[in-house]
Amino acid sequence: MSQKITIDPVTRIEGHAKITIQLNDGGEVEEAHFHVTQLRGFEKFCEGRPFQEMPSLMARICGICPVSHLIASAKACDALLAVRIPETAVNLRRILNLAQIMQSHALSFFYLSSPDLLLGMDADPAQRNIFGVAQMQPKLARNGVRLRQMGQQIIEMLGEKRIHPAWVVPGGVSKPLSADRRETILGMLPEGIEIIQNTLTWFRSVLANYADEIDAFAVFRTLFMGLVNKTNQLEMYDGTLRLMDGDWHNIADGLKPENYAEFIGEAVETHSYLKSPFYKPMGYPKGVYRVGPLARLNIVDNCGTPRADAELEFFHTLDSQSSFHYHYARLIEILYCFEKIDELLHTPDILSDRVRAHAQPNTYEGIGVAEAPRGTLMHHYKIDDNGLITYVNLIIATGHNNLAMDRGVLEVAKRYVHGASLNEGMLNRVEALIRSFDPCLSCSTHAVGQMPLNIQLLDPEGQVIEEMRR
Amino acid sequence: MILIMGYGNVLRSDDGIGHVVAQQMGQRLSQDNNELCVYLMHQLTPELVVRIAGASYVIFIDAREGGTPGTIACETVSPQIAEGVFTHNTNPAALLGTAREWYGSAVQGLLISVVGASFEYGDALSHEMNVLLPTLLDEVEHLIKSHINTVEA
Repeated sequence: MSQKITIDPVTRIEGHAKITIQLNDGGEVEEAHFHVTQLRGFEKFCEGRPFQEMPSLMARICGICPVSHLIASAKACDALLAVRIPETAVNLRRILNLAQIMQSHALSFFYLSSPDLLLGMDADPAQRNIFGVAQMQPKLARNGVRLRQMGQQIIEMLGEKRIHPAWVVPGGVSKPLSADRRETILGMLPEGIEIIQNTLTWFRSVLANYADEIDAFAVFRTLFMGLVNKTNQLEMYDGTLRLMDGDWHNIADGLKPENYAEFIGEAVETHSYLKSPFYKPMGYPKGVYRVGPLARLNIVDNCGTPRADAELEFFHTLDSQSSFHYHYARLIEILYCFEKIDELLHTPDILSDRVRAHAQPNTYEGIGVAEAPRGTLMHHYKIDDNGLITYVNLIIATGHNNLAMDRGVLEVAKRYVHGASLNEGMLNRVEALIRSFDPCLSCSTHAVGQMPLNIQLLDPEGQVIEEMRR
Repeated sequence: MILIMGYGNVLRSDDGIGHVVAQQMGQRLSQDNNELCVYLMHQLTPELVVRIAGASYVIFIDAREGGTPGTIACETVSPQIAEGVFTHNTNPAALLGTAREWYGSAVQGLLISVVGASFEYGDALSHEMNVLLPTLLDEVEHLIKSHINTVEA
């Protein structure tokens, strides 16, 4: 008799999802899906709002990465104004975005995933949190908190608020950076670099312990997509989109983000509110691709900063197809963020007071694309003659990864789940696979909240024959 | 260092009372205490533990629902071991407990909460709370001074 296992909700991710695992008559995994079960509808209720409100409205999508939405939204509004914003404003936005990526990666790695890595996939869920980490490695836990705090402090120093800053506006930013704040931020960077370099040294030393997970976590051939600059270096704010396969073959290069609809399709599946974007030339679902830290580091020639490049050299020797390496990529990107912020704060005009271009709308359609912590973020707006929003389309990083997460769940489930015996360890591995992608369902469909784990074994008629609760 | 932390949602009318009171206390008390720092935030998050661990005394000021508007409750915060996921929000006791556990800090805490009249959408305090505010500020100032004096003695 075939059975279905449901993990509902998946814990330690941003938002609310469930996983179902269908077993065949022999008790082996036949099918598995990642379901996102909430809908918030920002695309719809923003219709009719003045476009100038969009950055602040869109920032409310998420409390973890409001800055990413703020930036992509402001870029879409820049496009509506059809202006070139001052270079200082671009660099200040870049710093803000890097601080956001830094703090979000710290949250993902130290708070959400390090408990799995340090305490083991089979550990008691009650202990598998940052406090459990603190008991085993207090310094690692403190460092994680400190790194996140640094990212938030930089955001606060630029945008006045850690969460939902309103500093990024259509045409630039609302206020220049002061000299004393620049010095304060610069003063924080050496400590951050030291912390993350120590963390990277530790992580490399324990990487071999996870050979099994590296071998099982969504190790399949997909494309990778992200922004790159003109010399194919890591790019978080601007540039063009590049798609590569896992063998370093260029699939598409120099794609203009504003033309995304020409090469990105958006499929809808009945089992999830999360859209399933795909690379159009390869069709659906063959055009599956991954975005985010793993993808970004897989598609770049180099990062463009010395310390991150030294790490990247080793990273590029690893199996680039394993989604387990999202963790390592996240740590390298934190290092990159510190280095890049330092570089940007030393640009000659960073304290200039020319930080905003003023204009009325000059076109009816605007698209803004930037790299968010979890991957490429796309905001697409249309307005009417009065500047009121008539159309919004958002493609969120987590959405780009949806097809890959779905396939990853199946792969991990096939390896670890066997119908005859449910246990925490195997189910946590299924969850940990999802965590490696660090999905933000608050952003992508738009829900918040975390609840205990509930796993059900169902027969074909939907009757619960076994249930586990945390 | 004495840290005054005002928190709450300033887009929910009187839920922002913690911000108003903390700012005012900063102005009133800084004349007598040059090691006083005011920090305002939407909600308490785990990262605040770093800041708290560096303080000797933390005064949390928050809004509260239920009861007569303007009523002030004051309680000593007992440090507790935090549990669970600890990512988005936390509470004064967990922050103090984590500061002690992780950083060996001996920080002490006081939670002052003020009953609000309205928690509807709005970026200003309700009229009722504005009327009560002068008295309320005097009362909170007195409370803080008496607690600080007790601790210092």
